[in-house]
Formats: sequence, structure tokens, C-alpha cells
Amino acid sequence: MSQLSRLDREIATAQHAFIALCFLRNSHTPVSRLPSEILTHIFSFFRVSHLDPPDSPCFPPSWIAVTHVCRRWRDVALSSPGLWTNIVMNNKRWMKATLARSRNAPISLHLELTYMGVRTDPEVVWVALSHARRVKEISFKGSYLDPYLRPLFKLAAPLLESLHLCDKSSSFDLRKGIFLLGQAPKLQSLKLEGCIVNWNSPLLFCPTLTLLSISFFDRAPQHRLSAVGLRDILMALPNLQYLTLHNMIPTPMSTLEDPDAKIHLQQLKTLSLSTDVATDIMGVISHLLVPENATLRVECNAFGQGYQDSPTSPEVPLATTLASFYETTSMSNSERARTDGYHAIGFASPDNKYTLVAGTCYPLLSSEQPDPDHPYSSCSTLWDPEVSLSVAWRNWESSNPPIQSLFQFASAFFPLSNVQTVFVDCFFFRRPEFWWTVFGKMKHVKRLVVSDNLAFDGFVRALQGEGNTSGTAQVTESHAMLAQLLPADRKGLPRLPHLFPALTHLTVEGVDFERQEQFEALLDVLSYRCFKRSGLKRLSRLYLRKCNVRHEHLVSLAGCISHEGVDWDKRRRDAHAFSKPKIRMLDELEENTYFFA
Amino acid sequence: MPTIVSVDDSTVPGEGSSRLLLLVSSDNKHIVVEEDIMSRSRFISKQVEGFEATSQRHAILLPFSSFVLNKVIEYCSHYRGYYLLEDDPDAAPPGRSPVREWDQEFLDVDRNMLLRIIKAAHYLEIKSLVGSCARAIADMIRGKTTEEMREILGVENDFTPEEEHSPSSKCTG
Repeated sequence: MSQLSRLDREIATAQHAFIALCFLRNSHTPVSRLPSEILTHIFSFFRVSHLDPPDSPCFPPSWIAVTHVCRRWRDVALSSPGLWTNIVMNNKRWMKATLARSRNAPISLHLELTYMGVRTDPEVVWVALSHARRVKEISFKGSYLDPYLRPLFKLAAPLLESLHLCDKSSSFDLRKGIFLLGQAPKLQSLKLEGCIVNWNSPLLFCPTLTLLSISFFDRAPQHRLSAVGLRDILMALPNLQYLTLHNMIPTPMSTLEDPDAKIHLQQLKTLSLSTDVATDIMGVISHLLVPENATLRVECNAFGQGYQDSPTSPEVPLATTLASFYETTSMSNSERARTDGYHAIGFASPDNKYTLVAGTCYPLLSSEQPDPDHPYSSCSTLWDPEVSLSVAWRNWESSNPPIQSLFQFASAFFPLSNVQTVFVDCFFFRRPEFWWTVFGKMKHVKRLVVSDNLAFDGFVRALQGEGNTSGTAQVTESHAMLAQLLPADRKGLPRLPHLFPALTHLTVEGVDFERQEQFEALLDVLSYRCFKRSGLKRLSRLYLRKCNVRHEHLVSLAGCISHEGVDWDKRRRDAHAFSKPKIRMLDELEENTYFFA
Repeated sequence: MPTIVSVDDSTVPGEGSSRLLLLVSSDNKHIVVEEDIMSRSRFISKQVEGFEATSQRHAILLPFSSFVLNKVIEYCSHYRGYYLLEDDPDAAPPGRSPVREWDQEFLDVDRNMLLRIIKAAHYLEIKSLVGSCARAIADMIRGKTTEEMREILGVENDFTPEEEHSPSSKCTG
């Protein structure tokens, strides 16, 4: 027994000696000899560029893997307050640890109550809120926020720059007191969703505000702002750049004493309005003066009846009004109709002067052909040979999409066939026929960005020729081989229809190429698309973004294009991330920037 | 700290539109470079301000090799006259903006060289270059397991079993 104890002691001693030697060795490695400031800098980049989104409720966040590398790295990381300023309150121990490590540095508080269905104890949140004096950013999302935010009626936040509250239960009442005691002199971004707003709150009149976004999930007439109130708020915000009012259009602007009064928003970059009734939108924009290069985004849902005091009419010439406002056209609720799908298309020019078409389809598509006398036909449209198109399929569950009709309608005003850049998102499980329907006539697309694993199968099959109703031939490897044997003009070989025949730059995002069949499908397409005599533009660049791909796969791909032609950002994802359907709520769309990413 | 030595006028060749500086590397290579090029370095700028107090010309002795120094000069030459946000003392902390394409190619060097460049850039107080190098190193280890990181960086696990399993360790993952 004593022999065993002695050996255990010797093992322990040897282990300690080994670790001490490792530590000594590490201290001589080039990376360990970097000054602490540089290591902190590296960790900062590692943190911000990591896969976790900035407001991820994950804990601990994956970037802290750097603290496991060696003792020196852990020591440096733990003694750098700036690395620990992102306080996530879903886990008490983690929150306390980060509060302590951030010392006196300005902090960001994040709470996501819906995450994994775990309810957070309000008292835990209060501990973090007691640090309000050094809070730079607050982002609370969830239902029934009231118990969590109560302390903020008694605390000022002198360093606060960004406040984002999203109460999905639409119950948080900011009228209970003076939120943050009205003291947030550095506030730049104020975003309130589903909150009952105190329209007299000093926060709304903070002259440092550059972003103001107020949204309701449903119409809330009892909380509605008056036209005079909106005018007073906007006139107090000389630096406002982004204004969003969703389901929160004020009482008719005609109630202003001076119906011709204009509010000049000199710095405005984006104005986003949505409501049920087009005349309400017209009422607001007709009282605004904004810079010529501002982006106007209008959504007229036509779901409800509008406010009782809003004038309604079956035909509202919203588009004409908008067109005269900013060369912008939009769809209006020309007819009230039930819709079960929500579709939007957007157009952008390279100079960022956007034209956007958005809205529900059915009311607009009731007539088969656009009427030349229709108000929309007088809209001046933005045309540029480098026009780009962004397509998001929002309602992915819809099985019978009327998107073809939507495109037919839109193409009456926009030369879709000349689109050269296309961004595609949310085409989950879309069949090849769908791809052909949407993009079949766009023969000049040079750059294409396709997102998501769930969209890849339909996309690649469409590229292979499947689903084209105008031609039955499929592009296969045998075609490629046949074409190789024929002369360049390919006499005698029927010209095959191809989707995106001018494609030269392809970006694929979020696809798992570790699934062999997906990789092989891509390789098959590339082997044809990169072939000189295929009758197509030669694909010269492939960008892989957030894709899982093996080194040997990259070699194969590089063999098709060229070594320089493949660009992988080396951002990998967990395998399970590919298996879950990505369903996003409509209210999340704003943040995810579907339109002009 | 570098040693500042007086040099004869003859040591410094020709006059251009910009004044010339003599930089001496740790391997005793003398490199003449226009002051304009190195103005991105706050360290050099401070040295030059110091020179202006005297009428003498000076050389600046730097504690890294000519190979590394030449890389830094290449970087400064490329961005000569450019405003880079990261060099602004009031610039915001690192964001998610992508690495400049030229920087990506410039920093496509082996690990040890990258570490030498970042140390030199830190010494010379060139914030933009420090940032680009830091980002490149962060990219090098991104998405890797701890073991893979150690392998890439050439370090050993030097935690005691207690440290690896301590509560504070659990709070770091």
C-alpha cells in the first residue's frame, strides 16, 4: 500500500514537473511572446468574427475556446475587461462571471426570453440592471418583459447608446413612469417593438438619436400617436438617419394646424413605413422632406380595416404619390383581399438608390395584364444596366406560390431580363420548376448569391436543366463530354436551355458539402459550367460562405475552376445547423436584411 | 527603446519630395525610406518630431530584422497617402468588416513571419497593420478545436488538472 502511495506521489510530482516544463516551453514560443495588448486584440477579432451572432443567447459563447489554449492566453483573456462586456442573462453564473470580468468597462445587456423556453429569474436580471450606469447597450426580447425591466424606471443610463425592447406579448407599458428617468444623453438607437409607448418620454426627444424604430405587432389605436406628436418628435431629432414606423402610423396628418407643414429630416437615409391603409402612409410622406438619396420602404399589408378615423377608398393611388416623391413605386391595397402568402421583390442600383416593390400579391395580380392606364404605369422607374435583384421567399410553407404572376406584373415596369446580380434567400425546398419560373428569363445574370442548405438541392437540379418546361433536355456529364468532342459552334447539337447562362461568379452560403451527394452535385455543375465549349459563359469564381467543406473537396473544385477561382471563408457550422429548417418570424426580417444584403 | 545615432549627411542619399529617414534593423541593415511612407507609424512620427528639435539627421535603430522591416515598409508604401480608419486614434473597436483584399495577400505568410510582423507593427504603432495581422491570426484559429489551435500555434497544454476543472475554467467554457 505504501509502495502504491509512493508511486502515486511520484506520478503527481512528475505531472507537475511536466506541466511546469510545458509552461516554460510555451513561454519561449513566438505566440506567447506577443505582448498582452496584441493578444487581446487577436481575441477581440476572434470574438467578433466568430460564428455566434452578436446577440446570440448562447452561453458560454464559443469564442472563449481561446481561454483553453494555454495558461498565458487564459490569463490575458481574463484580465481584459473589454472582452467580457457582452452580458447574456440567460445563465446566472455566466452573467455574474462576465459582470465581474468586465470590471468597469461599458457593457451590453442581452436577454432573449424565448430561448429554449427557459424562463429567467427577474432577480437575476436586476443584478445586471443595477450596473445601469455603465450600460452601453440594452437588448431585451421576449414576452411579458415588465417584471424584468421594472428597475429601469428608477435608474439612469448615462452611457446608453442603444436600447432595443421587443415584447411579443405587446404588454410592456412604458407609461408606468419615466423610463431610465429620462436620462440617456448618449442614446443613438431606440427600437421599441410591441411596447406601449409613452409619447412624452424624453427618450423620444433625445437629439442624439440617429435611429428611431417603433413597431406594433397588431394595430393599437389606443396607443396611437397624434400627428402633432409625431411632428414634435421628428422636429426634435436633427440627426435622425433611420425612421421606422410599423403599424404605428399616426392620426391623419390632415389634423395638423397647417396641412401643408413640412418636416425636414436632413440626415435621413431610410424611411420605412407599414400599415393597413395606404392613405395613412401618403399622409406621412407628404409631410416629410428627406434627402434625394434616401431609401423609402413601404409595406401596405391590406390585411385589416385600418383605423376607424382613417379615410379608406377601394383604389388608392399610392404608387403615383410615391413615384412623384422619390422615383419609387409601391403596391397598394387597391383591393382588399385575403392573402395567405407574403411576397416581396426589391430592386437596387449600384449607387444604393433603391427602388423597392413590396406588398401582398393578390390584390395586385387580380388583373392578368397591367393596364396601361393604371396609376402604376405612370411611375417613373429606376433603370440601370447594372440593376440587381434580391428575392426572398418569406412564406416558405406556401405550397402554391403566385410568384410567377408577381414577376409578370413586375416585369411590366422593370426590365427583369437585364438583371445582372441576383441574391436569393429563403428558397427552402423549392423545386427546380420554381427556379425556372422565377429566373428562367433572366439571361444576363452574372453574379448569383444562393443561401441555405435547404435551397441547394432545387437550385443545383435547376442548374442541371431539370424543371425547365420550355425544354426537356438535361445537362449531364455526357452532354459535357459530347460537347467536348464537337467543334466550337456545336453544329448539329440542339442548343440546351440553361438557367443563368451568363453566370460567372457564384456564391453559395450555408451549405453542407460534407454531404457527399451535395458536393458531387456541385462538382457536376462546375465541371460543365467551367468547360470552355459548353456554350455558356465560363464560371470563373466560386465563393463558399459558411459552408462545411473538406480539404480534398476544395482541391477537386479548384481542379474545375482554377486554384484562384475558389474562395472559401473557412467558416464552418455545426452539422446540426444544417438539418433544422430556418423559419424566421416576420418581425425578425428587418434585422436579417433580406432585401439588400 | 531604439538607439538614436547621429549620421553624416553623406549616409543619406538624394533629396526627394519627402525627407529621408535611415532605419537600421537588428541585423544591421541600413534602409533609407521617405518620411512620408513611414508617417503611418506613430512611433516614427514621434521620433521625427524629436529630431526637429535638433538640426542633425538621425538614424533609427529598430529591434527587428531587415526582412520584417522591409515587409512593414512594403505595407506603408502601399497605403502611402491613404486614410485608413483603423489608424485614426478615435476609431471604433474592431468590427466585422472584412479584411482588405490586398492585406489578405500581403499577410499570406507563415505563422512565425505573421507574428514577427504584428510585433513590429505594434512596436512601430501602426494600428491598421496590427489590426490586419490580428485578424489574420484570429482567422487562422477560427472554427478550430482547442487541440487544433495549440497545434497551429505550436503551444502545449500547460494547465494543471485542477485548473482545467476549476469552477472558473467552467465559466470559460
